[in-house]
Amino acid sequence: MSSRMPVDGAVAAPESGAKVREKTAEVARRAAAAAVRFTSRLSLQARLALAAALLLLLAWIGTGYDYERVETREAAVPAAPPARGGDRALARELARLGTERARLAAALHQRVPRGPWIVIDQTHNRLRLMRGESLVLEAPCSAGTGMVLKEGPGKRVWVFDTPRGHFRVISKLQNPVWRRPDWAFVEEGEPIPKDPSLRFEYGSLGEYALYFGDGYMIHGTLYERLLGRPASHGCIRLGRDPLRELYRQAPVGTPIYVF
Amino acid sequence: MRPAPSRLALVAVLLGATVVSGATGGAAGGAADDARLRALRRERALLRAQMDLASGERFYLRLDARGGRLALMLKGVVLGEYAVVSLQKAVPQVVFFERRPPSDWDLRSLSRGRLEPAREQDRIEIEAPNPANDASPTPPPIPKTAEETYSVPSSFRVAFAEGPSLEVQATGGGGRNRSLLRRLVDRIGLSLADRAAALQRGAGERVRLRVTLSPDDAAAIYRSLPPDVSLLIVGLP
Repeated sequence: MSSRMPVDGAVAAPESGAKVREKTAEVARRAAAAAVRFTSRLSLQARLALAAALLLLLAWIGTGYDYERVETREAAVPAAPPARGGDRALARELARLGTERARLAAALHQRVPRGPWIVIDQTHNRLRLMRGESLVLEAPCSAGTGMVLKEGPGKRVWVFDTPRGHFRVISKLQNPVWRRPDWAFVEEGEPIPKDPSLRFEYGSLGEYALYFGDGYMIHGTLYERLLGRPASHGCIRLGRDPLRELYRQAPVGTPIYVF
Repeated sequence: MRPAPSRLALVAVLLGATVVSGATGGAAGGAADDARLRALRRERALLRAQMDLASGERFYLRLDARGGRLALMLKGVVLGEYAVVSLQKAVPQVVFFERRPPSDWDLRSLSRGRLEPAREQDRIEIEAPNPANDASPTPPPIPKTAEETYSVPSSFRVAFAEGPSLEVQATGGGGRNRSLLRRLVDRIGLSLADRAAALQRGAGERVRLRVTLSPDDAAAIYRSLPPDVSLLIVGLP
């Protein structure tokens, strides 16, 4: 008895490259012939319109921005061997450039404060205290609401924004007293007092305040539930515990960056 | 005694080989020196540009192509840093013809960057209550967080005055708080704007960098980018 199994179907052998190319050319020929047959039935105007449409399509595809990937995290330019002894001018230039590069890099590095510095993200209402390049403290705060207060038609207008930029702690206060500006009375619908002593308010700024100029402070708040939201009239409100820590760690002169 | 011709030939071959190897070695060394010189000059130009920016009062972005970081900076200090997932560079092409920028376009800082689409700030206006009225003023509404205030497009650009722009995309398409239809409309709009920009005559937008960030980072940049920001690109091959 034969042990060979019957072959039910032939397994297709892989087509050679030449055969595939031949088939592709055949398909292309047929498509071209069909296109010629189709266009020969069209009027001249229709042919011109079709040609214009094809050109427009090509122009559309070929117009725009052509993106290519840029490799990130690639190795730095390797230190090349020193210039050959014969070209002393080149060697001198390389050395001079190397020195200047090192000087500029050092000068840039020195821009980062060595001591404490404060960063305030007024959009996301976050305050960070840094020391050198280390994070010391991060806490939610409340920056300006951006609201506009109008005293009345043709009268004064206040915009409650926190200014962006670079500042410094100018002074530090314990148990600060708020001298209410005009807008605080206008906002409450109260008459503006003539007696300056009636402007002072105790306790509303919390235990501490760090003044950074032009009427702006980092201070405490009675509305801790609003921390993380823009709730102030331009000052930076901070919770009790982070404020204590900030007061303890940030001396007068501490840089403040608000963005 | 005269040297044997075979020895003479050997000496000639050795001398020739020394000269040839010296010449090729010298050429290789010269090319390496030139490359090193170019790299150092480039690095110096970029460091000078960074020093200029760090000495100014304006906010700036520093895109480190080599380190894969995008940082918002002021006076040389990093205020916020974002990891770049991928970076792409594009030049405009018109009917398959590329319009390339000048070769030193990335050696200077780019200025007056503005967001496209612009971030609209919806300010609440309050009319002061009349002091003559006894009625207590209505309390102001609970302020919204940045996340509640600004919806972030799936892709946005920071266009600079000098022409180049930075396109920011979030991984996975971003724009999580936008409907599918809105994202589709955004896409079509961007595609049309791209073609219009590519066709623009004059200096125009000759180069565009597309950075892909995590959705949170892309949203954070869109919501908090200060106006008139500058850009410096370092480490671009």
